[in-house]
This record gives sequence, C-alpha cells and structure tokens, in this order.
Amino acid sequence: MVMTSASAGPAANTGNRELPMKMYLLLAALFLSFTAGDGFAGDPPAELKYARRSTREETRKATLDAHDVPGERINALLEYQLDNDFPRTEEDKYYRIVTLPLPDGVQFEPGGIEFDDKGRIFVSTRIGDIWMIENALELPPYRSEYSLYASGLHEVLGLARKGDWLYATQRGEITRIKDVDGDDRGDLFEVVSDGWEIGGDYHEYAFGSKFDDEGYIWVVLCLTGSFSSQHLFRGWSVKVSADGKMVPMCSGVRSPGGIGRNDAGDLFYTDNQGTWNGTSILRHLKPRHFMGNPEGNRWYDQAPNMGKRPPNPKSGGRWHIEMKKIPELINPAIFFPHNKMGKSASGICTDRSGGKFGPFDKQMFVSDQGQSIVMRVFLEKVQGRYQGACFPFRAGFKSGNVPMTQIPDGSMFIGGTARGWGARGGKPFALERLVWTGKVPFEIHEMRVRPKGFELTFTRPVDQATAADLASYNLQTYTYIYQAKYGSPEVDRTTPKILSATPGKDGKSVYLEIDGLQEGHVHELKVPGLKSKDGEGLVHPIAYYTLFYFPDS
Amino acid sequence: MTTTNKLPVLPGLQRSAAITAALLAAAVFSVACSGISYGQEPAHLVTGPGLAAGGLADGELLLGELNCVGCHQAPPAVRESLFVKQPPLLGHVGDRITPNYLRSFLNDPQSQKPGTQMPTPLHGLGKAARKDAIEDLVHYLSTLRSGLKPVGVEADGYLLETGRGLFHRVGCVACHEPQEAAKKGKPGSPADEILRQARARAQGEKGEHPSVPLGNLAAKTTASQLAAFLMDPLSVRPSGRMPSLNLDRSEATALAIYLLREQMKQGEEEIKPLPGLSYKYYHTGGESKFADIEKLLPRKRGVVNRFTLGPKERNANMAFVYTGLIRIDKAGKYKFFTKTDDGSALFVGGRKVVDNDGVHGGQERGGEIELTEGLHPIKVIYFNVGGPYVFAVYYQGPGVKKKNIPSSVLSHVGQAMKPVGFEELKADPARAARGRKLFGENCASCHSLGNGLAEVPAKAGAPSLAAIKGKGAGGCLADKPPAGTPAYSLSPAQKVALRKVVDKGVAATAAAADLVHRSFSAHNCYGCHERGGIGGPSVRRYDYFKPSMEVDMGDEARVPPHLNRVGAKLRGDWLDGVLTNRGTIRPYMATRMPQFGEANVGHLGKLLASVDLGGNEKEEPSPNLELLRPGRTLVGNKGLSCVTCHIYGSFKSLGIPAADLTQMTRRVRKDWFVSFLLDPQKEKPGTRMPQFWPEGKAVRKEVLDGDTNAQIEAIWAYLSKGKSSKIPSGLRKVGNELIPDDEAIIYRHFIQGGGARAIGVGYPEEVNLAYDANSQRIAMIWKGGFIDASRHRNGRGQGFQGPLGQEVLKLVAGAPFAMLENGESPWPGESGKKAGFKMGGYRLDKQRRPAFFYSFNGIKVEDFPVPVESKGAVYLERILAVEGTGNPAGLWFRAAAGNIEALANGSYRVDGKLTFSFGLSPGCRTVVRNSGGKQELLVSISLENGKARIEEKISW
Repeated sequence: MVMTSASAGPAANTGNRELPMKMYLLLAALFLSFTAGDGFAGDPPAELKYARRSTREETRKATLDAHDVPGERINALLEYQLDNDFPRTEEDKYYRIVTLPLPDGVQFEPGGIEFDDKGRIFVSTRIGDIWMIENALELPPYRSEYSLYASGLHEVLGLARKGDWLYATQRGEITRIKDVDGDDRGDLFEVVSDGWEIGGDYHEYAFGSKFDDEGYIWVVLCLTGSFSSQHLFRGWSVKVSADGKMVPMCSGVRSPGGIGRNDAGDLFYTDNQGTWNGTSILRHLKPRHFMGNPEGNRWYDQAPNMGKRPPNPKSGGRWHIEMKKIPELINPAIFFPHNKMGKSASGICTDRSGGKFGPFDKQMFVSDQGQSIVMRVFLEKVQGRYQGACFPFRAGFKSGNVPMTQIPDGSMFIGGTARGWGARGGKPFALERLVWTGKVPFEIHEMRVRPKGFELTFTRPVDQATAADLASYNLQTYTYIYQAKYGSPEVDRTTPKILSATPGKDGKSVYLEIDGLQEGHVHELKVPGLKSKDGEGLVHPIAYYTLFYFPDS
Repeated sequence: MTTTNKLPVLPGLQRSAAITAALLAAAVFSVACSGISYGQEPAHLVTGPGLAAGGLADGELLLGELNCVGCHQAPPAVRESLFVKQPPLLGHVGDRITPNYLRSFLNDPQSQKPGTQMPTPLHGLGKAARKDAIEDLVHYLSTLRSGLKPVGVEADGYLLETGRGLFHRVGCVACHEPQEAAKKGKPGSPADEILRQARARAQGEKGEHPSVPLGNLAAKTTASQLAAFLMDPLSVRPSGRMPSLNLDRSEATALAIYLLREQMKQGEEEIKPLPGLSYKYYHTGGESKFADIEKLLPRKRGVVNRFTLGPKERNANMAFVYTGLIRIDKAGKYKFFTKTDDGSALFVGGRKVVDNDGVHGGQERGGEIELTEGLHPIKVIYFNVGGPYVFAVYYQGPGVKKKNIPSSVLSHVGQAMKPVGFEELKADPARAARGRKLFGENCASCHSLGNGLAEVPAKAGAPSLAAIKGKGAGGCLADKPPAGTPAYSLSPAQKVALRKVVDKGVAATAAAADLVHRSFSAHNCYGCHERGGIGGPSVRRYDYFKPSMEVDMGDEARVPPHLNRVGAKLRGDWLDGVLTNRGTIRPYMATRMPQFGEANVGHLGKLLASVDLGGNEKEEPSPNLELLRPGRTLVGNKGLSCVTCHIYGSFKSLGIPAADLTQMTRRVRKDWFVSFLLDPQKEKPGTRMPQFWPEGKAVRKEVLDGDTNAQIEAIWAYLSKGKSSKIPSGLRKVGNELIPDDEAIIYRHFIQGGGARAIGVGYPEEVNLAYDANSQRIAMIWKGGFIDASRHRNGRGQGFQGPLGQEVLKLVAGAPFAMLENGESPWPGESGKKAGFKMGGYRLDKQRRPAFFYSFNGIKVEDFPVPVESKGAVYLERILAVEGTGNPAGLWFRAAAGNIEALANGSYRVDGKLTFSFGLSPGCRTVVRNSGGKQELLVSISLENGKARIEEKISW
C-alpha cells in the first residue's frame, strides 16, 4: 500500500490505521480459526530459571514457549505489516524500529552487542549474561531463539569478536571467551587485561569498543562515583591489544556512555553532563590528549607514555579559552545540547554499510539513554581536529538506549536499559533493531563550516526559492561553562546575522553567509521554511554545529 | 423525632422496637456529642457503647455489664448468658494507681471518670466518717503492690506524636472519644459513598454511641504502668471489654505517653542530662542515603550507653539515629570519624562534620570542628542496606588520642514523666487493716485481687437474682439507694431497662442469635463491624478508619468488613483464630482486630456458625484434583488473573494486596466461596472483587468449555492445594536468589569478603566460594544458599553483597604462593599484580565448575575446587596443579594461618573451625611454622618433571 497523501502527518496516519486494523484482525481471526488455536493451553514457564538453568535446550524451549503461540505470532506478523503499510510517524516512514521478543522473565539489559559470520547476534547484559540469538534477522523477528552463551560476568558493556574469541569488557577486565567443546556455550574465560582497577563503586563502569584497525580494543573508564578517581586509571581511556598489552591513551574522562570509531578509524566516546561537562559531549579520543575532567590526572605517573601531566583547567571558564592554555585539552567534537538533543549520550555507531542504511554513509549515530532516541552526527576535520553537527534522527525506542552495533545488512541493533536511570521509552529494557525502509528522508545531509558561514547539503534536491529565502533560516549560538560544578546552563547567547543564502548548482546544497560565527559555541540552526523540490519540509529542520575551529578557506 | 418513619431498611435490618429505642437514645445522646469538640467525656454511666448502638433497653446486657450477679447470686448458666463483666483486678493496684487518684476517685468516681460503672462507695456514711473510711481504703489499696521497682518513662515529643497516631488509627477511637478531628482520607468510590450513607441513615442521621471514658489518666497512673496495661489489658480487666490491640512495647509506650501527655507539661524542673544516648532504630526499605533515614518511621527507640548496634533486630535494611550530648573537656579542634558499612553521617552542634554517605564497604571518613569546653549536641545516622555491617565512631582532639567515643562523655537530655499531683503515701498499717475490712464489706463482691493473691472474703447478704424478681424498684435500683447498697449513676433509660428485667426475671436460657447480639454489644464488635443492620463505624468515627498503606481499594481497605453471615462464610477454626490468635488477612487496614481473650469470645465462633448456618453444616466434598490444571490457569495471569490483586503465599500480588489465595480454602467455607464468586456484590456490597460469571455465565469460555460450575470447582481445587501447588503464572519471586540446580553458577560482582573483583561460585552441593581475582585466592567459603542477586540487579546495583548461606569462613589473605629464601622467611605482604601474579582466567568443566589459572615468576598454577559429598557431609576438594621449569628452590604454598592444631589422622585444624588435609605429589611436604607471632600451615613444593600437585581437602 502507498500513502495517498505525501503530507499526511502522524495524526492523519493514526486515523487511517483503524480500518485496516479491523481488516487485519478479521484476517487474523479467520486464520486462527483454521489453526489448532488454543491460545491458553500452553503452560507458561512457572519459575524464571534462566539465570540458573542455562542449557541450550531449555532456554530455546522457553523462548519458544513464550513466543510460539499461534495467536501471538499472527499478531506480531499483522502488527509488523500494519506498521509497514501505515507508518505511525514521519520517522517511521524511513527508519523502522523493530522490537525483538525477549525470553520471558529474563532481565535482559543489553550492555554490548556483537554478531558473527553465521548471522548470530550476541548480546551481553548488565547482569552479566551473554546471550546468543539465532533467527534474529528475520522480519518480524518472532522466531528468534535465545541461548545463554555465558553468564556470571561483571556488567559487560562492550563485546567484540576476533576469530573464535568473544572479547567482553567487564568492569574489572577484558575477558576473552571461547566455546572449546562446541556446545555453543563459552567454557574458556581468559583475562586479556586487568590493567586498571575498581574499588566496588557502582559508577566504576568500563565501556569497551570493537577492535580498531590496529587490533586494539579501547576502553573508557568512568570515575569513581562519577566524581573522583579513587583507583588506577578511573577517568581514563586505555587500549588493549588482542594479546593483552594495555596502553593508557587519554586522560580526562568523566562518565562515559559509549565508545566507537568513525569511518576513518579514530575512536570517539560520549561523556555525560556533570562536573566539567556542561552538557553531554562527543569527544575524539585523540592519543595523549586530555578530555577535560582533571580528577583522574593523578595517574599520569603511571602512564609515562602520556608525557607530562597537564595543568588543571580553571573552573568557570570556557573550553576554547582553556584549550589555548592547555594544549593537551581536546575540543568537544559535539555538544549535545541538554534536553534538546538527549540528556545522556551513550552508544556510538558509524554507518559503514556503504548505503545499506540509507543516505548517511560514514556518518555517526549516537544513542541517548534518557530520551530513548538515536541522534545523527556529521563530523568534519577542521585544522586537524574533529568537529561538526548533530541532528535529531529517530525517537520512540522502548527503553534507555545504550549499546548500538551495525550488522552487515546495514541495520543497527540497539539495546535499552532503564535500570538506575529512567528512560522516556518506559520499558525496563529492550532489544531493538533500526532498519532503513529504502525511502530517502528529506534531511540536512551535511553541515560544514566555512570561514564566513555554513554550507548545508541535503539528501534530496531542494526548492530553490525557499532555499534562497533568508526567512527559511534562524540561527542562534550559545555555549556552556567549563566548570567543576555539575552541568551548566546555556550561556553567552548570540544571534549571528545570515547575510545571504545561495543555493548550490547541484540543486542539493545551500551556502549561508554569516556574520558573527562564534568560536566555542553551539550554532543552533533552525530551517523551518526550506522545502524539497517536491514540496516536503525537512523531517528534522534543525541542526546543532559545535564550532571550535575555522577553516582557512 | 420523626425520622424513624423514614428510616431506610438495609438488607437484613430488623426494625424491632428495641432498635428504634436504641436509635432514639443514640440520637438524644448525640446532642451531647454532635459538636465538633473532641476529648469530652460522657455525662452518664457508660455500659459499653454497643449497648447504645444495639439495644439500650436490653436489661440483660446491663445486668452483665454492671456485674449485678457479683452480689445477687445466679446459676452458672444464667451468668454465662449475661457475659458478665468482671471489674478490674486490684492485686497490684498500688503499683498502677496513685494514692491521690484513688482518694479522689473513691470520693466521687464520676468526678474522676465521668461515665464510669464504679458506684459511689460508702454513700450512706456521714461526711467525716466517709472521708476517714475512704482514707483507710486508700491506705489499704496502696499496699497492694507487686514489689517490682517502678520504671520511669522519659517525656518524648516524638513518641507523643507516634502515640497520637496510634490512638486515632489502630482502633482505640472505635470505643474511646477521639481527641482530635480525623484527617479526611481520600474519598471512596461512589459505591462506598452509597454504603456509607445507607449505614449512617440506619444508625440514625446523627447516630452516635457514647465513648468509653478514659478519666483523669494523667493523675491516675504512670506511663510505664499504662504501657504495661495496654500491652496486656486482660491481666487487669479480664472480661475483655478493654481488648488488646496487639501493641508491641514501643507502641504501648508511645500510646501511654500520648494518653498521659498532660504529665509532660510539668516543666518547672530542670532538664538534666541522663547517661547514654537516645536512639531511634529503623527498618528501611533499602534507603541508601542518610538523608532519607529520618523520613522513615522508627521501629523503636530507647537509650544506649554508647554508639552500638546492640538494639538491632536484623542486619540488612536497618538504620539508627543516635542523638545526645558529648562532653568536651578541653577546647580546641576535634576530629570525628565514622567507619561504616554502609553509610553514615555525624553532626556536632547541628553541623555536619562527617559525611560517609552511600552504600559501601567498611569505609572511614572524617571531619574537623572547633569545639569549646562543655556539652555539645551530637547526632550520628547510620544505615546498612545489606551485606556485612560495620559501625564505629571515633574522635580525637586536644589530649584525646583517636579512639571510640567512650560512654563516659556521652549523655542525653531527658525528663521523666510523673503523675499529676503525685504525692508519696506511707501506708499506715492500722489504716490499711481497717481499709482491708472495709474492702471486704463493700468492694470484694465485685473486685477480686487476682495475681495469685489470697482474696479478701466478701460480705455475703445480698439476695439472689431469683429472690429479687419483681422487686425492680428496690435496693440499688431505688430512686434513692439505701445505705449499704452501691449507688450507680444510671441514666433514666438505663434504670428503666434494669427494673424491667429484674421485675420480669432472667430466663435460664437464651437464643443463640440473642447471645451473639449480647456478645457483640458487650465487646462492642458493633463499633467496627456491621451485622444485621446494627453497627459499623459511626458517622463521626468513620474517618478515623484508615488504610495502613497507599492502596487503591477505597473503603474496603479501611472499613472493617461486615459480619452478616460471617458464620457461614468463615470456617470455625479460622474464625477462632481471628478472635483469639491475632491473625490478619488484611495487611492494608490500619485498624487492628482486637484480642478480647479466649475466655470471653471463644464461644463466638460456634455461636455464629450455629446462627448463620441455621444448623445446616454440611460436610464439604473433597476437591476434584483432576481440575488442578485449569484451576491454575484461571488463577494465573493467562486466566482470570486473580494474582493481579491477591497475594499468593510469599508472593506479592501484581497490584493491591488482597487476601492471600493460598489461605482461601482454609479460611472460607466452600458454599460461601461459590456464592461470592458468582455474585461478589451480594455477599460483600461495594467490594472491588470483579464478577467473572455475570448471570452465571463464564467470561473465559476457553477454559473447561466455559462451564461456570466446573470453573469454580477448578479454582477451589487448585487453591485447596495451598502453598504446595505450583505457583500460578504471572507471579514474580521476591528477591533474586541464585540457586545452583544441576550446574555451578558463577557470579562476578562486588562480593563482601571476596572483593571488588570477586568470582562467586555456587555449587549444587550447597557449598559456595568467592574467589578474589585480584589476589588469586579462594577468599571465602560457605554452605547453604549461594547469593541473593537482587541488590546488584535493582536500581543502580550499588554496594557489596554478602553470602546468603551460613558457616561463612574466610581463608587466609595474601598471595597463595611465594618464593621464600628459607624456611624462616616471613610470608610476603604483597599479593596479586604487585607480587608478580597474573590472573589467567578460568575454564569450566561440564558442570560449569571453574578451574582458575594464573601465573607468577614463570610458574603456572591451576586451582580447581570441587565440592565432594561423603557420608552426608560436603567438603571442598581443591586440586592445585603447579607447573614450572626445573625445580625452583624455596617455592611454598600457604594453606592457612591462625591457630593450627595437628590432628592424629594427619590433618590440621585451624582456629578450631576449618580442617585441612593434604595429598601431595612426591617431594612436597606440609610444614607448620611460627611466623610473625602466628602459626602458618605451609606446603613446601618440589617440582618433579616440572610438575607438582596439591590435593587439599577443606572441611568445616
């Protein structure tokens, strides 16, 4: 089915769903009447034995018990088809959220996601299990089969694979796990590195990346209590080779939510609003650089490769000023303005599918735990440093998004948990998959800074008249205080003047000439008036560019 | 009063003349009570509020209440049918009641306790003679003592407030006068409102019963005596008119302080520091911030002589707040410290000096404050969420080395409560002897001494009950009672009723229904429960009935259930249990079911059954156990989802805490159950219980073909299995115990005793261990339950979790292996990475049991612990396989340190608790040595072909 009106908004969609829903249900009833449909005969598992009974057969059976009920299966199928034919929201038209059924009664709070070459998905959870999921890629995924690959680990917030080994970043170590006897359960657990320390504070999280191009897993280590560094390398990033060599890489980490690479192979991490972080921030883990929170700098003497300990920043200043005093201090690549763009940035995933995930090849996607969303990030290198813009991308996930991993078909698996930190999605946990529908949304594709303005490109041809109209744009800037206190309001607000808007010859770009770009500021650009050539507005008519460096030309 | 013509009729309401009269009387009485003032005492003799509500004209009830048969003898059958109220036992009255109160009370009972049933004694004597005689009685009564030392109770504003709450919430005001206006609760549902209005109309529009007087309590007794009485009122007042409300000691003390609050006003005396600290003890819901502790309601409070956890009742989810004064002898800077697991805070002079907040292991924090010489307020808050607990408070300052704060410098402010107008009386033996004689002549017919004392013989002489038949207007019922007879302050209506029954004579037997009504009246069951259109909370008292928790059940959560057909509803033994065993099935109701004493209400169960079943007690057929499965389906969340509202044994419901399903068939009779399920509103108007079989037709047609009878049978059959049946689907277990079934379970987390990198292992043999990955050693072993994961799987999962089981033993700390220069070299202090150890990991065998491996100094070790069952006992067998190149000299393994005893069979006993025995590869040997002031059990290791093997059995 095709939408009759391209401009039908979410409200119109909802209205349109009722009739087809009834129709579908009628079909379902018809179908059920031909099946041996005793939906209540199944004896559901009485006690929740996953934690203690972990044989493959039992977990597999339990999952089937929970989900292989004819009525539920048909329902899932119908719901899926209905959502496909009648998207609930504008975002749904382009990117679908597919929620995976989970085994009954399992506390399934994803911390890391990985896949193997047999199409199996591995999900590590906060309570220390690693689940192996088969048939997870079927759509809808109601026939997914779960079995427990490993359990009893210490809050695994990072999974990576190399050959037969699964590398799990636990709180206290990176462990590699192998199934030696071939029963699909890990039975050899080797410590790869325990070169950092923990003291028993719940905040001492460790987020691990996949392997980088040189064969290292990078780990970002949260501060003790997210405020101080009571144990070795709390507040640092280290990298660990597959054979266990650990190298301290960066200082100045506060409370990370995720770690991942960009297409070029550089590592980035998200750091949450708090002390020395006026808002949530995406930072390049540039080797031998200081990320901005001085609490962990006491460990410089344990990291001779890092050079001299940098001086402490002055509390109450601004990043761009402190960066000039402290050469090691890295610029925030992206400020995620608090509450406007999430409130607790977490997992990082770069689209490296070469177009299978839509028009945003090589761009970065960052999930947010508190608002249950995924944001999109465009980064460019200016004066040798990363900076760029973030955009809203997809809302409506069921729980608090944390880990995010792209699988070879281009879709992304996203895990959610709301335990300890509430999330808008409302569910305590979820495992979801973000799938491109094949339709190209009308979005700002890239936003690049120029010496005197910004250049925007779009995913689809733009309407020249509205693109050239200054009234289509609205630009404001602000920044945050760089301070030892928790968080910061938006400060130093300015309104630069857009002097001209010049559509590009390619029909898919526009150059904005601007007077008053601000170093160290978020440039919040609203684009309410711009239309595509076929008359549609932008799905997300807003961008936030974090500007620290100006290009020479 | 014309409203009686319009009186609406509730189902089952009998509009007898007696009730009409009662309602009239109540309406008249309400003139005195309908104002908004509280705390007023009644004007006339009060004979149990039930009488006013139920039948003031019932002379038989008055005969019982006034103990007329104490003087006018009656046959036992008659006595029983009257539910005679025995006046207070006076054996220890000298402990309980002050001489000044006794004097005033004997002089004019109504002046001290308006409404009391106590007649005015010795009214026939002349003024001076009477005063003298009363003094003799006071002297005599004052000698009636237990000999136990009186205990002072401290005035305490906090307990006062607790007592205020209890008085108005647990049920006291169902009989006694409320002391303040009720807080309006949430409005009930429309159905609740209709019921309430109907009841109000039935009771008379302003229907009210007189309150049982409290009297001049502040002058009468002490807080400790009153508290003791409140905890066990039947020991003084055996007839159960004043029932027990199951108060524990702290509640009773709080209530006593509240009732005696006037005694707190005597503030002229200087408030003095008393030794020790005042503490409040809490059971928390896992609060993990000290700031949250004082928001909770303390479980108890009292005085301790120092900072101690002595009064704790459990180790987890508990907290203390200590307040008092610290004496500083020398001005200067003082440092205070707390070392606690979990959190704490210390305040001096209102300033926070130590902040040791949060959930953590034994962690010390300190702070500094400048103090002058003298007393300074000190306050410490401590809490433990779970796991081990540690609590120590230190200070140091000028001339004070860092040490625990000693009791010698601690005190707290206190002031003992004392009866108003109290004067010590030194009993004059001559007066007391005369008083005893007077007591025999005037009081002993009614008052016994009890308490195992020899009773004072009562003067006989009053005619029997049978003998005064027809003489209703004579004797003590005369308009002016003659000397030598008791003078009661009867109201005209009471007098009329009594004369009537005396004239008519008391029947030898009474109908069961009448007896139920009499008992309900005498014990004021009607104050809370409606039965036969009588009773239930009155209009003015209605709002004092509160739920004890936030629960969406409207009036059902706060108003005690009606008792119509209760004998047909509840099984006899359950009913007996409710009446005499303090059981409750309604955790959400703040009002408590009072305990009236088996001797007083033990008969009620049978009586109610005989009345409500009309003699048709049928034997119930056995449940049809073939229906268990559909029954379970119906009860669970895939069926009718009873578990949404109902508790199921130890499982909470998914919503409100409605009655426990596993008790259902033991509690209610089957006929009632069926009737209730078919039409809940019929049996219990206003109930939240949904109707699942409207017009007898099943809602869930897919179970048992929608056969209504079969479905109800199935539910009954399933519930009849109680806790032994498989739990219904949809329930979640409380807690999160990890139970190794047929495989070992690994649990890596913050484990108390195992460190931040502990690897917990639970084995199906119910032996468990915690391996410390930081120091390559088995840090702790225990038996029984493995671990409760709920701490780490809820919220942010903060803190360390200790073992669940018992016989928890810690093994020797430090590195397991070392290279020693010679046999005397001390064991190195360093371990783990610092000592050159590298944790390798573990491999799991088919039963998922880990074999840990690590290396140091070119030596590889595998440590494989396995529980072994033998002759009913389980021990841990640990195989340590050591591999190296060549045969390094001086390689040792340390098994234990402590007090080591070599046993005859070649094994070693350590600290009297652990036994080690070894099987060693050739060249290895055990050595016990003294080192650094303690004994160590070592194994000297010799590698043969690069290998050695230690088999170590650990039993405990």
